Amino acid sequence: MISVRDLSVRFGETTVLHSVSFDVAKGESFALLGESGSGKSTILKALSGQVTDWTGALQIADTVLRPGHRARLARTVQMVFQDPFGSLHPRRTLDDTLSEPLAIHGQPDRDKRVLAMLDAVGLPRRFRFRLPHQLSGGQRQRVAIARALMLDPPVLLLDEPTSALDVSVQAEILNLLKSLQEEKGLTFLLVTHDLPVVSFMCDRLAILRAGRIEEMADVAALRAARLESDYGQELIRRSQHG
Amino acid sequence: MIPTAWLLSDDPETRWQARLGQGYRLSRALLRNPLSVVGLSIIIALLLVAAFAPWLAPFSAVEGDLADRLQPPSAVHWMGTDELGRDILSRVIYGARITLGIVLLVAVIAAPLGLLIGTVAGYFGGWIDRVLMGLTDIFLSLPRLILALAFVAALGPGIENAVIAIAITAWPVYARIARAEVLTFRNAEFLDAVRMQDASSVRIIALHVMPLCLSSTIVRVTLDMAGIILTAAGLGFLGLGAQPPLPEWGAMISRGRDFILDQWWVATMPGFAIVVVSLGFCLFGDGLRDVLDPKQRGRG
Repeated sequence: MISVRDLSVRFGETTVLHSVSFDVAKGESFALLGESGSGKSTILKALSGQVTDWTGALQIADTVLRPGHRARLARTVQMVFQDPFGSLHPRRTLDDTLSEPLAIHGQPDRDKRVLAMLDAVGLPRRFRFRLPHQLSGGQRQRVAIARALMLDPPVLLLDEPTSALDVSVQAEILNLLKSLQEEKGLTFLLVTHDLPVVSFMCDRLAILRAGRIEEMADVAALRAARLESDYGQELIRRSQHG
Repeated sequence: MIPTAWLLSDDPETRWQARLGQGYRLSRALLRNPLSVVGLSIIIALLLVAAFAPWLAPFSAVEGDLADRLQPPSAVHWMGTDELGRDILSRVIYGARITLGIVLLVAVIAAPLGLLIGTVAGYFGGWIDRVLMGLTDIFLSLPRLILALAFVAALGPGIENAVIAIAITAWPVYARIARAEVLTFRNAEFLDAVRMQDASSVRIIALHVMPLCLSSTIVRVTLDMAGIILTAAGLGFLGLGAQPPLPEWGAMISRGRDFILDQWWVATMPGFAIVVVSLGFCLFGDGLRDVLDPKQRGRG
């Protein structure tokens, strides 16, 4: 579903990614694990078209991405951002936010589909005309997920979707994402630094360090704390010691 | 009456209820400030006077009785008469129409133009920003009245040209404000999100960027109204705005200047009208700023 070959990204003098390659199968959850500055978010930005200055080969579903060119990917891939406070327009109601993708693509039945999506992400229908500041962080993140799913894209990019939330709300959002994935057969590419999230959500993972993939592993290896690279072991140790 | 609880509901059932609720909250906050109520009353009074001028004015605004020239304020002529025997009260009342027309036209031309240029420059950045802001800076660096004078001199005197000249000199401020506002959120994730939905730049600017700049622009326009009125009066005073016999307030002061020592009311009455209306817009703009743009409170 997602194919990344020899992806390199440079910002001026510094190289952020050094020929990174991985594949994600349809319906799979793949995690990019790494600390801040490891380049994991840059991979998402390249895949979502926010960064177009890269070399290598990228493909999502049937669409081949070209460097320096922003592809029309809205129906193929959508993204859930880290900060639910910054990712919603402060002056637009949930209804505006959710019907916008439908309006852009000229799709019918907006009212019905907005209500159905509110149900699907577990938001009460009466919230429909609320503004973002009238919602809690977890509710906002549900709106962001709903917005990402409005056009039924097969692939979802998740940029630390729970790291800005309270611990109790984190589990709710992860459960929601998991059940939506099973229901709609979505493919997830998740970026995080949180090992428990990976072992709960994902099938496979890649560990990134300073723009290089250090190790690719099955989630079973992570759960059994049997990662092969030293850096992987170090991450496990750090996570266990809080 | 619409019940307050329905208006203030956290969970409006329709788009309409949500909008009405927001409007109600806004007007309630505005009416809590006594000074902005005074400003609003002055503006409403101006609107009413302009709308009902033919019924309110006791005499004609353009025809006078030469036998009655330069009469002091009295029971018949509340504000006295001018050098052609015209009733000054009637002229001030009709002048409200001209003033209001100028103010509205300038606001309608200058504010959208400034907003558009500012948001486009701020959103795209790069060379578009540099070109547009360079242009804005050129206009900003010239004194407003002088620039308006130059335009009127080129276009010819008259009220339409005065409006165009004032509008041309008024937009750069709005462009600057809108651009500054856009820069605070141009990298926000909610814009990344709509870009990922394949929204066109036109759509993003019009529906997502502009609404966030709108309140600061509205506030600024209201505060600028006083300046616009004064510029229009200044052009009228210099003989480049409204032409006689139009009862424009600035032009009336200009005529009254010749008699200012002996017949003070000829210049004072229209001047008084200018002060009151300018004050009204200032007070209302201040109140509006406190409600719409709390960040700006206590500044500029």
